[in-house]
Amino acid sequence: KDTQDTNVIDPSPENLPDPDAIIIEGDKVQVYLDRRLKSIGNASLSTGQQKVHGDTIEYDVQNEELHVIGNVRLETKGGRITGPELRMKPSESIGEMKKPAFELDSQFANMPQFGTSGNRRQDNDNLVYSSNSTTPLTQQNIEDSGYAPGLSRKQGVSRGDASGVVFEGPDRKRLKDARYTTCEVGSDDWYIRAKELELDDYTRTGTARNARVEFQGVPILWTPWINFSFLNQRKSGFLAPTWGTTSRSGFEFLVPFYWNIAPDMDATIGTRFLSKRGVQFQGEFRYLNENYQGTANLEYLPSDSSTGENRYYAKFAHLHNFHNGWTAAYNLEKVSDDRYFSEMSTRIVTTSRVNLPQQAYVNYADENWTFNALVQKFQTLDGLNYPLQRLPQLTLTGDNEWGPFDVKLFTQWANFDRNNDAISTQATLGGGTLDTLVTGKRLVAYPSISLPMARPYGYITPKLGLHYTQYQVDNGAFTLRDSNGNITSQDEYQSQSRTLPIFSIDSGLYFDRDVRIVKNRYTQTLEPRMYYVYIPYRDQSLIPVYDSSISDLNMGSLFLENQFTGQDRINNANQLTLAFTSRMISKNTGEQRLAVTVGQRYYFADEKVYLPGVNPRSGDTSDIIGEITARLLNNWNIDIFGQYNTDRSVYVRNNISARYNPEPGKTLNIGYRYTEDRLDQINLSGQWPLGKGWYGLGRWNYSLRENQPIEGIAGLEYDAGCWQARTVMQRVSTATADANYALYFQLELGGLASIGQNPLKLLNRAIPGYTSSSLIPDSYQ
Amino acid sequence: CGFKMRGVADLKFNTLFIQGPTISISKPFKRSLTVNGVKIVSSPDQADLLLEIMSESQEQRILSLSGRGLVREFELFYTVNFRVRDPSSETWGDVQTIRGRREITYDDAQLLAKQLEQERLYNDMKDDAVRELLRRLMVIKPAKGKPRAPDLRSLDDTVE
Repeated sequence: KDTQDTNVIDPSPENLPDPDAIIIEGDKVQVYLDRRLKSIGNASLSTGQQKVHGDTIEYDVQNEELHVIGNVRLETKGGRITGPELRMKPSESIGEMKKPAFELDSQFANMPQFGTSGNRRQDNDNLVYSSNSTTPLTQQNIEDSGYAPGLSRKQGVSRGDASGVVFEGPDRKRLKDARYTTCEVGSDDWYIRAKELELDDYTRTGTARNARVEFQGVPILWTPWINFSFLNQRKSGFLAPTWGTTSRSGFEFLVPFYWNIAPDMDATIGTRFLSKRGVQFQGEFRYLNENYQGTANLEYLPSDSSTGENRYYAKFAHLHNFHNGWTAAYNLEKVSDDRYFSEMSTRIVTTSRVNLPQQAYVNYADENWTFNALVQKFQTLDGLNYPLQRLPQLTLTGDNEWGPFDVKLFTQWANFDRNNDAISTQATLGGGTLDTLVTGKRLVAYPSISLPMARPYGYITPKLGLHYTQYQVDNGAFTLRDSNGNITSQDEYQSQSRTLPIFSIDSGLYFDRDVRIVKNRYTQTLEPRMYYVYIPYRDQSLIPVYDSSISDLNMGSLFLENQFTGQDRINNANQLTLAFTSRMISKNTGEQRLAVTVGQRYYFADEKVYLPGVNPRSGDTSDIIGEITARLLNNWNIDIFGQYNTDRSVYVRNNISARYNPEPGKTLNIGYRYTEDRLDQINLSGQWPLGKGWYGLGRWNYSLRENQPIEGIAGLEYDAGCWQARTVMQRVSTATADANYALYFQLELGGLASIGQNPLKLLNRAIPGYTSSSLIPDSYQ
Repeated sequence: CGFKMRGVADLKFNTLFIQGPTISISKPFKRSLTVNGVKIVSSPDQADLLLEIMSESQEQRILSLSGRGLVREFELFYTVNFRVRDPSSETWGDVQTIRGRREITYDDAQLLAKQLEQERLYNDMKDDAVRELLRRLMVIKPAKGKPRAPDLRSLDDTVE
């Protein structure tokens, strides 16, 4: 028997004989005939894979048996396991420990989120699908369409304990009667209790069998097996059920199943029980590839117990990149009935929908040319506003530089058709009605040449173009009535062509000066801009209106040749626009802090071209418009817009919005919006900490014009560090039915999953600047 | 009152290397650089300043609703993310964001016309973004003429 008081082997890395070496340290190490080593007091044993600490370590060299007694601490790749006693074969990492407690350096990643019909159609924020150069279906859409990894991005450790752990190799551990939580030591607010929990350090995944989630000691969820990941990897499995209640559909309960089919493909299948309607089946299939991506959504509710009808929603969207400039996409949506969204969803982006696109396009773009072929129809849900169908529309544009000249060409051929259900009566912008079912074909060619002359201190760009349009009209008869119902015009739209030369000069100057405000240095700019347009008059009253309307007056549209969008009306013009912009630009960062603009248009010719039912303007100036945009250093963002009619001395449009956002979790928004004869409303929203982890949040949108609330939200959030709870009450006005009321409840267990309806997306829209309390750093103190 | 005509000398660099995807404002941005006397070079070695265009995005949000819950106004956002690097430094600067915002009235009765108007407002924001990007670059003073260590140059190459 030998007794040594020093270490057996020098543990410094350069002296390691080989990776299989075992290093034993301790206050006292005893060696028995080279077969058995015993280390007593602050003992430790290290191998290449792991390190064990304990009061006493016994190691049988011949049988490779390790026995650690008292205050055992096993350090592995992913964390630490502690317990009273460990038996292990270190070379193979096979062994067991009684009553272990473990601490992991990472948390289980979130399971994918799955919401109700409303939540998942986040991408439908894109209500107006652009048809020309931009693609309606983007990467963003597919990312947003339901899978929301990482609600809680707070980094943290997780921990747990078990009645026993079996080590099955260097990377695998199997825990019996395990508990797992992301709460800090001393807080057992929630945990997963599993009959068996398997942790794999190599694949970074965990599998729990016969598991239940307990919150404050109360079981709230049970699953036979659940598979999760330490990384943000997707895993198949049942997801947290969601619940809520709405006035339209009653109590609801959704059980989703997530199927991770392949790395580039997944599906979520759900069964949603609605107490007033029955059982709805939901499915969402998504795929994403280097060259293409898409989604398919289906919802089916057989024999709704309220209406007795089968109800469904379907959406198919696909975007394909063929390279060499060619892309193609389709986007098809259909619902069984007009009231589907109002009754099945409480999300405003969904309930406000009136027209669902059914469209496909092919695009080509290179340095100088773009081509777009579009086929577009809509399903109209309000029985009123039927947009014209484009079957098809072909657009070719070119842009090239010839010496100092910039040459542009816009050509388009379109066949405008009508939905069979379309009604002939449309409201005009003047308050009357227009009765017509006109359809037809239209060819536009608009070549133009400009000479941009730009210097750092300013620019001047003369431009000359020739706009040619040809119409072939079917069903040309129309009747125009004023707001009292009296016929003001009854005639027939004619097949005809129209040629108009368009001349304009755009010019601007830039002046700068240095200013100092408190301690910050700014460049203040002064930018006068002058724009002149000349277009002769052609009678266009017998040309149908397919895609023309009048643009909102703003700093962009003041500098347009044509105040009408689309191609059907070209204004006669002999007019000059003047505008002054002044900016404050930070000397240090180049960021714009403040911009003030004032502008007005002066007419030298009377308005002779206008939309059906609209009165020509009086006076020889446009409304004055002013804009202020401030992004101030004291965390205030202010946007003010004013449009003032000098002839009538009235404000036509006023918008004021201010946001104070000093730090995440503290946001106040105040807004007032007014548009003559159309809009007059107040908007208040915000989120503010109430102390001790509590946050209040709310939104109140009230129409002064209609004297009624439009949207009301009141909510309360609580952040306990390792879990968050929020409850939100909501009232929404819907496009195709009466107001709907909803109550959401959500419990977010830190780093694991959200249970209950997901009101986060709702809050993001309703309260600009909203930050989930789980994302607010150190909010729990 | 202290205002002076803007001069060309505001830019503190003569050559710029651009990397990252081609986005919708790439062409007009390059044109505006040329106007301001900046040469776009094809290799980071020749550049006084490096620019990485990271991404662009468009977003549409409901701004106001009628009492019946119909959309009355949308707000539109156009965002460009980029970062810059002085060739003498081995790390990129923080990601900077340019964010444009516009409001548009909406009515389903004018859906096709509003689609076109929306398109135009996005283009408007893109024009603004070009100018803002130029302004952000204007304040940067790269350490020109500072000799670059040979080992640093090889590191640059691996970064690209």
